Amino acid sequence: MHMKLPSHAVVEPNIKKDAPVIELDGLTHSYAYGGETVLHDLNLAIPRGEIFGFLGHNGAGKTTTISILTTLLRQTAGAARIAGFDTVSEADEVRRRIGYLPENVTFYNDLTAYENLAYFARLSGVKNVDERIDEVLGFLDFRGIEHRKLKTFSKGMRQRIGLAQAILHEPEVVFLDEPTTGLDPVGIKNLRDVILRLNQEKGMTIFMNTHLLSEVSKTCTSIGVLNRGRLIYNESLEKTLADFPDEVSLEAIYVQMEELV
Amino acid sequence: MNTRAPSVFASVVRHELTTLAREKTFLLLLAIFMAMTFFSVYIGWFTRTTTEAIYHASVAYLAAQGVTSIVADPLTGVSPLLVFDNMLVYLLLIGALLAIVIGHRSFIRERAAGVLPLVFVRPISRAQYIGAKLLGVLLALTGIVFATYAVSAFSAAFIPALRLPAGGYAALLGFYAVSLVYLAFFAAVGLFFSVIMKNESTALFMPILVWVAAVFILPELTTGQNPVALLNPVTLTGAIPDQGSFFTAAHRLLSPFSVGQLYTRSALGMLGGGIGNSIASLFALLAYVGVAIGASAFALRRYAVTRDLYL
Repeated sequence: MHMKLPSHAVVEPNIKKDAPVIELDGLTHSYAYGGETVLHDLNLAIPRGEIFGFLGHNGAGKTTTISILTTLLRQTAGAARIAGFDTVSEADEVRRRIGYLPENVTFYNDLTAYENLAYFARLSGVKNVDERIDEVLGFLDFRGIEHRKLKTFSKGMRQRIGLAQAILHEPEVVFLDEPTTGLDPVGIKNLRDVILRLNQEKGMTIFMNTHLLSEVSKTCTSIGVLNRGRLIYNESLEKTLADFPDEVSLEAIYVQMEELV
Repeated sequence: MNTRAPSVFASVVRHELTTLAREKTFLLLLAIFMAMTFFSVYIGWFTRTTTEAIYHASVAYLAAQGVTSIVADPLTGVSPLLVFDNMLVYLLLIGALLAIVIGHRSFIRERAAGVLPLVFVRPISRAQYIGAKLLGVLLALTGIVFATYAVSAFSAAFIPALRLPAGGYAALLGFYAVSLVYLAFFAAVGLFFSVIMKNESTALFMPILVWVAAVFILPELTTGQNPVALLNPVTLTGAIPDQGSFFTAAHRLLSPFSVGQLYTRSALGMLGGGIGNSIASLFALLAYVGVAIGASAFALRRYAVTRDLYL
């Protein structure tokens, strides 16, 4: 599906349409203070249209990886590309093509949902801000809350506004960092439905950090497992289930992977 | 229908002003400041007329006692614009605090809301963001200063006996323009510490410490035996008397760093209290503003946004 991008003059990279939309090439990161290496030589290629589940224990380096892919952090070695654009040297081109929902999404609590969304839409260069907000809230089945202040919202409602801000500019890739944290079962199901619709109806590639393996098996098309900063597994979900025929659930498979390291 | 994409820069400036207008601390300080401005001209006027009344009563008393050689009216030749000198004190104290709050809140608001990662995953450069933030802060200060000018001019117009000299309102405008420079310095200091300090309380405490040093400690050291000079600005326009080697040396060494005195000298020059070295003081003040803005921009450029992901 052809993605509509914001109005900026967009530089099209010299890549094939079927080339990976997310690429990690020897990605390594060490923190300046202490010098601890948190990501070791990650190599990964995620094709367009995937829903990629990025698994790993707490502190494995998942959020650091997302921070680099979303241009919030510069890696110390290697490269990362989104839709063929380098996350460091072509950061603005990357930013035009990505949406991001952090784990603890927060907003301006004293502003209304509309004011928050309008601000982020303008920063993304969205034309017809009002129309677009209405369209996105309609897509998320969330109309009618526009003029309520964010401080009155529940965690689930904030998460939906978080998703709305992430897709306002119709990005090619959406990064979700532990999107189910703090949601009740109904909220989790709603989120899963939205993720699937974003992928199937809007053609967006989804990169999702998560702990919730039951959700991964219902949503993702491929997975990667990160252990202490090293990518120890990367396959399609179908192949993963075939690789571990004796295991009854993805959770059991994941535990086995971790134990093998 | 307008289908043009809005400017990212303008969006940040607009957002800055919108959110500031909803800040309760800012609104409270602003209300206090405006009320004080309204009454300051009356206070200045009453002070002046009371001084003159006491002088004339003293003259009448001394004449009745047969004294023939009486010192001239001390207010003769003093610019009527100096009835506004209370504003100098208000700006020096409350105005600077207001500016610190504006600069501080400008960035702390974003940090506290945890929205910086959502901002910087969008196609906005740090330079654009910093420029827009600073412009928003300066526009807010400009609005406040010119509202203050309007209130001062309005209240002065209601004192029939107060006759400002030709060009009096223009001189008053000059005074407020200099005040804007002084306030911009403290707003930039507030912004700077809000970026570099991890703790929100410390981020507010540090610019207040700078303010205390610049407005109280340094002037005390540099004006030596006349420590209240800053709160009685007219005395600063005269030559500083010989106060012994320590205070002379302190004056030479520290007065270039005394932002409060630099402001007082340049602002009083505008009110006709003696130009003296007011232009040099104004340029020094502008240099401080440049340094404070540069430091804020540098700090913001190096700010690690990822630390806000773990709030």
